[in-house]
Amino acid sequence: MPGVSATVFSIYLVVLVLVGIASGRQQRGTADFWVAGRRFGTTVMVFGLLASVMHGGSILSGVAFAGAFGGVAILPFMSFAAGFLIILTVFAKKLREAGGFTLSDYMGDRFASTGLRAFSAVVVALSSTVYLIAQIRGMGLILEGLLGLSFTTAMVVGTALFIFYVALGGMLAVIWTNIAQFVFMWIGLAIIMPAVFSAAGGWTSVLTRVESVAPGWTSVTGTSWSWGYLLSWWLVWLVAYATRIELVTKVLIARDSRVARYALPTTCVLVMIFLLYGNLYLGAAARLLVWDRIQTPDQAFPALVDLLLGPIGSAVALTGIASAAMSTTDSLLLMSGAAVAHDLLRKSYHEPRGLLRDEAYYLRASRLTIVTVGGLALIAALNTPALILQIVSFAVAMIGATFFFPLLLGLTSPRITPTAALASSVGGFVVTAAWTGCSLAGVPWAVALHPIVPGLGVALALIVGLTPWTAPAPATALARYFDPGPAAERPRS
Amino acid sequence: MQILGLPWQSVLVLIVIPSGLVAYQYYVCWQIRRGRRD
Repeated sequence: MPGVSATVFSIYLVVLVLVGIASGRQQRGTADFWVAGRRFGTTVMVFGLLASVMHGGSILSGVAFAGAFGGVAILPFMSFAAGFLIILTVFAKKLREAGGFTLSDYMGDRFASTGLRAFSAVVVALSSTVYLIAQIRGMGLILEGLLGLSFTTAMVVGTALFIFYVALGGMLAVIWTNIAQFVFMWIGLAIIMPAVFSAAGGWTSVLTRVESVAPGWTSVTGTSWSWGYLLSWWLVWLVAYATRIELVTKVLIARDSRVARYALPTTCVLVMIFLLYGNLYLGAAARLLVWDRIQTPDQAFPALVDLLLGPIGSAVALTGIASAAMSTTDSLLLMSGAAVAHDLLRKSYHEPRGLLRDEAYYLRASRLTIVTVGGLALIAALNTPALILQIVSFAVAMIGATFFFPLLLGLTSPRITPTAALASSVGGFVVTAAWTGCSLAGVPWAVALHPIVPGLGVALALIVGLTPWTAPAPATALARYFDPGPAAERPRS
Repeated sequence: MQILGLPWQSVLVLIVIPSGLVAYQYYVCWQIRRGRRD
């Protein structure tokens, strides 16, 4: 099995390395590196968006979670669709047309605030790196099972590979490898379909049987969730999808603001189809076929593959999962690098002080940052305490509380002020982080409520409460995001 | 009432409402393409 797996996986690695080298040759400046020269049409955008959203955990944790708690409860499709709708109708056009490279660019430019830009960059860098650490460990587990390597070697090999192609080719390499990874992922999932169908039955049959084995599995609240928990689950994912940095940042690489929006609904549909099969159906099949053979739910998908496929089929299916894990890690590494090299070094330190450097300098700095951040994340992944893996599950809530209202309200009203936006971001982040800490410590009142609820509440109160009493952003900053309107066009008398 | 092995409430939150929201996304894109929305 490791011999066959190594061959299949080696083919995949060669494809990634070639893409990295080819993309590296096309890098002329930071616009090429961070946003791939904004060259992509709708089809490539759909693939890029899908690959950045669908990570290794989407299948491994999705099957595990669905198997344990119920396939309908764990899939917040309403939140996905509503989150995408917010990006489509409120965020995408203005963010793309403003011409920034990152989300921190928006925060700094819209509110004319270096402090807000730097704070946003720190939040993005920290949360992406923490998430990256967890993803590297997930990828290591997959490669360990796939190739028979030790856990440490598997993490080092996988991380070295994606550091190589991200540092060389930037966003262009991420997008093209994402497409390759997406194809591998679908082949991996498709190859198991006939075997699952034969062993467990079709859609209706599997769902009917799983309901009899695990009562409540097909209900809205699943086998054990309360309505309160489910509502906070929907809220978390609504905010998480509307502010998911991998998703919002991809909008910036579209050829124009129309393409940025056209790609969203099709991505949303494909995500749902992917999860209906990859989580709901496979989760139900795992519950029926392998649940009594495994110690923890995370082993459900590998156990299913092991039970139903031969060596070559297993190698292809698990390579698909490994490729999905890599497609998110490379996006996260690129975002961490952009936050440090572009947002902090260039925009928050050099430019405010009038320190001028050429594009070649920033391209070198960007690549060095990618290698450094990737190396640090690997070291942390090799030595990570269990706490980091617990914190990562709350990272989307912290990002959401930091950015949701400055994006949503800041892009709809020119009246929202820099002070209010900064207070909302800092307040939302601090309250969510503190509540997360209390939850992880087991404090009863904190455990009762998901941290995003108080975090969003404070963020909303601060941005709405402070706006009437503080000064708006300068007109030059607002002009990038809002039409001047009839008053501004009226000739002066 | 079961539809495709799911209770009707599950079909509502998993299929019907999300499909409506996605359909609205396509409608917005269609408006943009036709020049009826900026």
